[in-house]
Amino acid sequence: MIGSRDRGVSIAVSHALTIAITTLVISGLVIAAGGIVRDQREQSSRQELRTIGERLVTEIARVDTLAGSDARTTVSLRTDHPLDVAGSPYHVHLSTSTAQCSAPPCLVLRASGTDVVITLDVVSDTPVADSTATGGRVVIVYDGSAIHLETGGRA
Amino acid sequence: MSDRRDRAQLILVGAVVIAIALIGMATVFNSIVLTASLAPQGAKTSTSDASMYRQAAQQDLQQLFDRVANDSAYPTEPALASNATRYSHRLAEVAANDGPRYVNVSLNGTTSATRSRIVQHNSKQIRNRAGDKNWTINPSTPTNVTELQIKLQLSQTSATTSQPFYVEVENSTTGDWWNLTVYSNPPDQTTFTTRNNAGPLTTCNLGDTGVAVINLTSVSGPSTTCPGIDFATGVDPPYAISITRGNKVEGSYQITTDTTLSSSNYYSSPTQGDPYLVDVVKTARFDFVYRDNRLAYRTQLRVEAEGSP
Repeated sequence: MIGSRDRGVSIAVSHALTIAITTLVISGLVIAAGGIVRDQREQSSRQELRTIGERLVTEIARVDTLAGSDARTTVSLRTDHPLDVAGSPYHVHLSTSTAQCSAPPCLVLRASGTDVVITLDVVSDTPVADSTATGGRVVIVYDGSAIHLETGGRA
Repeated sequence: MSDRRDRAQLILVGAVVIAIALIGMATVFNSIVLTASLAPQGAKTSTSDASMYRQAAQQDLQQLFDRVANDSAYPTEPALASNATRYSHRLAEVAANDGPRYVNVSLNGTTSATRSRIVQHNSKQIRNRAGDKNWTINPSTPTNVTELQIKLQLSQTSATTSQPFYVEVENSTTGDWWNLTVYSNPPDQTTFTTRNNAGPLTTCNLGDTGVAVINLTSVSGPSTTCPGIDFATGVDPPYAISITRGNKVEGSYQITTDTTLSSSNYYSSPTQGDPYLVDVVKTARFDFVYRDNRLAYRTQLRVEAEGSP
């Protein structure tokens, strides 16, 4: 017996509405959560890259101190950093390009999975050479003429 | 009854979605926390230790240089090299006690600046290796004398006014010359005079016994010192240094020149005889190597005699 309040409403319609509303709610949650995760992922990538970059800048400064711009000196410093940031591999580029650096030289860190790029100034009395290394184990080398980066393999 | 079940299902699905989102965020944040907790202590320690050992070696090698040089300004190359090797072994032991690292120091003979030292250790006539009484200390290699010490036995001087013993320096380019003349002045004096191409400079009389010591600035006898000798006054280096009538005096000497001389006039080691030639180090360069599991560092340490240009 269908009462006056249930007039025009069938069980099928009720189920359909239930499914539709449930789908909308779940989709909304998934989309919202996905957006948050993506934002957090970029945010964390940026923070991680900045942390790694600042460490590398410090380590380059240490190599610079040891090198002393002396052609008779060689330095090879192995540094270990995370293999990836927020699940994405990254690259470190020691650049002398004015297109990339406001005050060359600088360190440019770029995560592969995101558009995140971090640029940090490098202070060095020793000349530096354009070079790129993959994230993880990075070797900072002074060969008697300039400081450059090399990929040191897996940590 | 049916409505309650549906509501429960919705709550379950929602809980699963939220759980997945939380797990995703936790994974991302975990990565951040992991990065922040990875302090780069290794690189810092390695570079600090390398700097510390380099500075220690620099100071120690300066002391070693001065000690090996002994009374002279410059140590001989073989003595410096062997002492550096012994020091390196001690430094390596100290470093190894601190941890797994390797430190080594060695004299780099190629980049070190050397000079020549001519030595006649025993007191005898001042002749060259071949026994010539008139000879040139630095044939075909104009030089500058940086150390000079001649000890003459005054009682053995047979030089006379007409046939004196003298040491002469001459700059062949400018033609300037300077000499120190020694002759016996009876009855009981030995006379030392200096002159150059401009005329006589100094005259000094010492007795006829004991030892006269001639250096770059004076002549000293047993009881008298004659200042104002000033070796090679008025003659700009580089110059040639010659000995005339070395058979008229007897003594020992040690002369260090600013260049590396050929050994034709001398023996090549003290064991072979007098006079001999030995390389001395003006500016030493030591290869310094530091290595551990993070850092490979190689540099050169420069050590020189105090006051060396």
